[in-house]
Amino acid sequence: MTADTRIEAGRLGRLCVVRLKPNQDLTEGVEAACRDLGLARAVIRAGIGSLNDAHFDSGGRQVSVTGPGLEILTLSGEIAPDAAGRPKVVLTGAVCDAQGAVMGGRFRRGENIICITLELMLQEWLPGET
Amino acid sequence: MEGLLAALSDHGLSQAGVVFLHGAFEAVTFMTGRPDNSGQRAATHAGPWTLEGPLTLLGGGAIVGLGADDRPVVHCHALFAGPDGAVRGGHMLAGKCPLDEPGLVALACCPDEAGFKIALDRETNFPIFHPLGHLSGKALR
Repeated sequence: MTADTRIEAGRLGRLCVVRLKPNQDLTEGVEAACRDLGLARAVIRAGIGSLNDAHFDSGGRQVSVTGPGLEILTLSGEIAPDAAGRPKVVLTGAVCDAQGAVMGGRFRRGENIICITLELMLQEWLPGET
Repeated sequence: MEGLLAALSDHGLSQAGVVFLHGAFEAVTFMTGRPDNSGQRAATHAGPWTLEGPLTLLGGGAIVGLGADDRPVVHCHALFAGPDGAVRGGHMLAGKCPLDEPGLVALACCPDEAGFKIALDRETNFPIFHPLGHLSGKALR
């Protein structure tokens, strides 16, 4: 264990079912859902769907994949408040193109537009509760 | 995917968000997405493609919800590596992805007061999952 390791105790709370629609941004859409559902902290429990194009930060570079119809294969991340107390999400994952080739990274805010749908389950994280 | 539905059904569950932890396939048949030149949809399916295994499951997940007939159905995306180590992924087709030993291990979270149900979406012209309520206070893990 290194000196900058932090362990946060808590428990998982309510499970939330969300669908994002075409033309919503992935990151901003998840944040809007959290605001609507009253979730200050949450984790991604499952998420699959598709994007028009994908734009990642990956290995210190910006990487783009051209669609549309890129399948979201994996989606991981958490939601936590920013300095102003607004839900802010960090999402990473992998997509595949029409040939099934896989690319991934950290999804860039405002640049990953839902193509057909995103089916998502979020679960509330309640720090300090056991 | 039938195995996933059966495992959930054995516990009386018909709604789930699933993350795959590890597993293996004898073969996979999958589809991907591509532009739809017909103008009917924003995108459409490409494939299907079949890869013979053994294949190692690398990740992915599924949403389990109700079909239009109220029977459980699964929407599954995954990525996998073949004998040459090449990684591919896509939309897994039900009934066409037989598991290899030692099977597949998944983590499912199951809302009992919310979920998804298939309905035709007029905006995208696809039958897709729509939420049945958004919050479940009694998540089963």
